[in-house]
Amino acid sequence: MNKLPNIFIYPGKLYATKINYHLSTILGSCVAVCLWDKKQGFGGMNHFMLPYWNGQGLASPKYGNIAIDKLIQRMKYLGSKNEDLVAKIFGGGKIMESTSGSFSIGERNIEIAQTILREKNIKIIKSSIGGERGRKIMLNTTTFEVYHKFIEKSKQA
Amino acid sequence: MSKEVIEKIYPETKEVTKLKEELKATNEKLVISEAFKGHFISNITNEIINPFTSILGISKSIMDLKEKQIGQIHSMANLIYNESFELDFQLRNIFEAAKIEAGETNIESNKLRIVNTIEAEVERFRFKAEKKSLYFDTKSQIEENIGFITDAAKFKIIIANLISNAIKFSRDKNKIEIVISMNNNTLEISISNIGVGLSQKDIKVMFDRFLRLDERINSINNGHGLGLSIVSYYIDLLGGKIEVTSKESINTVMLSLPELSHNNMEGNSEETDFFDDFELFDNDSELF
Repeated sequence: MNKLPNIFIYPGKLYATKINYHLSTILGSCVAVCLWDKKQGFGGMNHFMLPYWNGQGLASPKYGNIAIDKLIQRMKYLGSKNEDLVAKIFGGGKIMESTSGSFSIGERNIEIAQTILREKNIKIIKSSIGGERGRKIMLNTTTFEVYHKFIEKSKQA
Repeated sequence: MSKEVIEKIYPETKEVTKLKEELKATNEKLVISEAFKGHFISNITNEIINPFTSILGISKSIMDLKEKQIGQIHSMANLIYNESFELDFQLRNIFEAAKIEAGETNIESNKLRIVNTIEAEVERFRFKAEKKSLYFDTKSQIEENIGFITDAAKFKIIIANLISNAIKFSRDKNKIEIVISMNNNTLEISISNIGVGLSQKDIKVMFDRFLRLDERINSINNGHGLGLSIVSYYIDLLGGKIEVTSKESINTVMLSLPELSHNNMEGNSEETDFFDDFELFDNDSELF
């Protein structure tokens, strides 16, 4: 594993690049969608906290519907064609004790990622989602390898 | 069956109902938001074009001054400064919002002398306050030289917007009080002004991008509600909280901000040991 420049993807941030970088982040109930152009070999990542923008505040990529659209747009801007895109998704753990019942934020975040990617005909080739632990991930933008590790409760986002 | 019984048997019912209500509220919001977007563009046009027109006009007048009118330059420069200040402030907010919406925000940690930073911002806005005969009363309960780790640029934008708002919504000839204190590595800042009292409903929608509180305020003040939505986004990002209270026409904004290195979300250290973390590649690690 080579030591590459590392960019930390804060919640609400997204990044796609043709340069070989490591993009890393920490996920609790948040979800990160990684996209990769399998023909040209480059990719990007987002990190969203909530499924839908509810019309309050700024329409930022803190929300799944915006974050995924924007990441696809960014990939296309860099020259990708929709049919060359593949995805990996991570996160969406059931973290916060307060969210009881069948519709936890994590699950809704996963669902929006799956739904939008299906609508756009982008195949999810791998994922590590749900569960009760947080995750630390690091994406190699050229190879699309994702290093993945479960983490302790206190460190989650 | 009664509603309670149904909810007992199917616990999801309650949540589905709740989600439906949320969806309905969101739909209504989107309609309003769409309408405001139109307003927003015309507002922005006003706020950029008007100051520019003034600046151009006044500079032209200065150029045309006769020798014996040179004495007027001072007051004209003052007008140019006013307009440019406003323009600079609005443009910064617009670009800041654009950066947020594009997903390009990072957190940078800097050690900041809080009292100095706030006082510098107050100083910048003093001429605006003086136009309304407002005065600042800054009380600090923390050591002046103690450094506090936060994102300096974002902190300044937060403070500038809160001060600007306090001025905007103050009644003339009153005081704006700023109290700075520290509680368990959490910085607490309260900014109060005396103005039009706010209802609970006003407070709830205050941070919405396209809103400005009611026509009454709208008609006498400029600004387009963009500032507060940036403030609330950044405070969220830095792990802080903001609360607005209004009591007998005293409006108070309470801001609490944890120090960044003590913020257990993502500090800088996380970024640097990230690689080493995976280098160890133990049983917990996996390659996807």
